Amino acid sequence: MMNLANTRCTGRWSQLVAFTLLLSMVLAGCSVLTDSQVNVINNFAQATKGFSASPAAVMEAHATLRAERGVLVASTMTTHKSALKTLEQGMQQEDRLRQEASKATAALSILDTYSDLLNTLSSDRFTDDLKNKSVALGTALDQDVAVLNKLTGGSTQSFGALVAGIVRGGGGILVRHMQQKALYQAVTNAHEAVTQATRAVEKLMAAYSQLDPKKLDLDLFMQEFMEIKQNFPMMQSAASHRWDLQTLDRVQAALRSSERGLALAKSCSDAAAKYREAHAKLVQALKGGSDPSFLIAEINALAQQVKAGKEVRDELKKKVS
Amino acid sequence: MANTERLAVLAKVRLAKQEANTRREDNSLSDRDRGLLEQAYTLLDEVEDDLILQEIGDRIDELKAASAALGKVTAKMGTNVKEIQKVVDLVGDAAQALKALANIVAAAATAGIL
Repeated sequence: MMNLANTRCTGRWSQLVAFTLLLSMVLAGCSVLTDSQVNVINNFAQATKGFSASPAAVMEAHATLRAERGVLVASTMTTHKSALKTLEQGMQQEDRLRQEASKATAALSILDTYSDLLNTLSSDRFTDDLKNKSVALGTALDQDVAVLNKLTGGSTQSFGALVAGIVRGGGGILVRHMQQKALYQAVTNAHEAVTQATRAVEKLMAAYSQLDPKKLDLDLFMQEFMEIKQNFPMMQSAASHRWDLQTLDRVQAALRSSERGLALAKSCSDAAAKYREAHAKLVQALKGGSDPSFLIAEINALAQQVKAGKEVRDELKKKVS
Repeated sequence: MANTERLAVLAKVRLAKQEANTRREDNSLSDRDRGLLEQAYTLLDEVEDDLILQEIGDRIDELKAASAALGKVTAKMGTNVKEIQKVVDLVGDAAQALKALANIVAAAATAGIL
């Protein structure tokens, strides 16, 4: 009786083992992406992490600078009405610019979400989780067999480790297949949207950095810089015919913020262009089934650009505050 | 207002502002004239701010449109992540069920039910 139960049990497990092995072989044969492609996608995801923070920081820095220019220019006014109007206008514009920065932050956050999801889908998170759960499954099976043996006086051998191995192996192939399929779809489907979004970032940053001198643009940081400099002679104290230290300190900080804001805007623009180029080449490599390892250098350059942006951003925050 | 037209107006406003500022520096100006120039400057500053805001707003709208398209892709990615996790969780659920079964059978045997 006991032997019959053992035979039935072993038979079912054999069927499961055979099915899992068959499924693994079928899926292993139709791999969607190569390991190299998955690795490069993972590198890309890591490199673009936090990309969205810098453009918003540029906008915030400009808003702060605009208010500061209001204070500095107000100090040159000779009527209280004009001084107050200049101050209020600066404050109001700062608020409105900050609102626009918030909208940009919200819109840009989708690029971070995209990076995070690419990172998740190209990671070992699921297979590691599966490994742990397979071990738990094997242990639980062994526990069941031990209880059954104790109750029936039987001697069925533990097979938890075997099942765990099969589930881990077969399930791992299934999970990897699902990950690769999702990654391929994501990267290829995102191509157009990534192109548009990065172009929009470049266009937005061009408003702050005048990337093309021949093209008429807002050139916001340079304009603030020039305007502060132009008003500087009128900031002189009428009594002493000198500039007091506080004024000089504020003017210096404002000019420095203009320069750093401009540098950050240019850096963001460069990063957006590199992001778009690397993504386009990645899509091409995935569609063509080629090894995208040649992109590693480009992705590293992109990572450096994003990192450099963060450094300028931190520096800018220090100077503005 | 079209983008290029707005930028052209902005350039003129900035020139006018610059002119007002240059004239303000003249020490021979009467208080009245200086006051008028300051008023002109603040008015032009207001116009410049409005034009800048409109232009920035348009560029952010473009960014929002592109982000919305990418949002559709990330929504699908999120669904895929959940589906993969479901497969992994199935193994975990099976382990939990087998463990619970072993505990129930062991408890029943201890209680003399089996």
